[in-house]
Amino acid sequence: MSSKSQAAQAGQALWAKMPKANAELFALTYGSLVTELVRDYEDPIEVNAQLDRIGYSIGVRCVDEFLSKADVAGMGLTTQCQNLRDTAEVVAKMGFKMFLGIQAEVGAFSQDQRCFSIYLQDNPLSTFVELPEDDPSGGEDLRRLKYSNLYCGVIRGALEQVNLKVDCNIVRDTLKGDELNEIRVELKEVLADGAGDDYKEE
Amino acid sequence: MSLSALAIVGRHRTPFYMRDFTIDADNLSSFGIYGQGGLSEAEFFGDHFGIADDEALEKTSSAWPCNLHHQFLLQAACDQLEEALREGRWRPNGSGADACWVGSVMTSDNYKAFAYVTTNVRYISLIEDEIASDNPQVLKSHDNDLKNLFANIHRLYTDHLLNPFASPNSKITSKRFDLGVIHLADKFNGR
Repeated sequence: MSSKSQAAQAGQALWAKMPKANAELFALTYGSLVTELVRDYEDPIEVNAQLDRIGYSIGVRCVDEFLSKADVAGMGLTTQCQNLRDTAEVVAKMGFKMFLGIQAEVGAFSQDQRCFSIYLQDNPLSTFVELPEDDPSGGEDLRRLKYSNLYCGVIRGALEQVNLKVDCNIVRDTLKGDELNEIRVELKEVLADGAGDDYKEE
Repeated sequence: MSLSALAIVGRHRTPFYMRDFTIDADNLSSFGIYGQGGLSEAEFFGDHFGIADDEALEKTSSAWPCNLHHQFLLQAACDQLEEALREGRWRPNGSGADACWVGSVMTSDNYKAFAYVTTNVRYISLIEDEIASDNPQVLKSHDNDLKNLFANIHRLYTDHLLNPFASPNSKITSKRFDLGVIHLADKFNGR
């Protein structure tokens, strides 16, 4: 499909222009963030929720930068996404490529075209990470921790800014032994452009 | 020449990792407890851990996949190394793996203990040497092999430290590290 390769090419071009950071430093910073959260909250479910919130606030900011840069790369406001499939391609091929430099794939579109999956072969956040084994002294079970839950928050935040309310979940994680990372994205509703209830027309 | 056991010790004699590499070790589960004599390990190594709580003491000292005899030799070698470093009998010279290489610190029975020090950790290995040789070339290649082994273990250790869930001052419980060390030991022992 032409939009697919277009997105991939645009993604490549965007990545080339972005300033780069040291991957080890990035992974270590994220690792310390997660371990601090684990230390503070102890319950892995709560930590997942916190990572989602942090990701949300990142996504909300990233999307503006993305849209402004994408304009230059030829995927501007004139070439809007017609359906969720296009949106998925843009998020995976351009978004992930631009900010992380990784190639993400989309797939597993549902029947009603409201859900899709993003597949990540390698995850820069989890370089060097190994989830600790079950603590025999009865500590919290870190196997329930979704280490890369930040991505879910980022996708949720970014898409909300373009009026798509989505739910994201990590369903497969290489840290838990799966071959790749899979993020399931479900469209909940398309928000109407509106100023909100507080603002009332005179 | 074969590697029998390895210990990784921190700065204040706190052990991070101790493992056997003898053929019997393969038959038993990785972190099982080996047969003991009358004296429990907890009492035997009591003062090295300095932990008041008996339960914690028992748990930490019985968790090493290394039989008592080797543990004893490793601890003795560690003492010798400590003394040598404290008295300043050894200074790092050369670069890279050469700089960290201490050499033989102790000989006992068939075993020779070699040490390798890096900033935070000391590596002590027990080598079982069937044939003693005075030929300097053989000794040199022997040393070089060991230096490479230690350098590789050091690399594994730094990789392990990069895991955010690993604390630099606690026991190494990473399966990945353990498997990596076993693999290196098997290669070294020619198995």
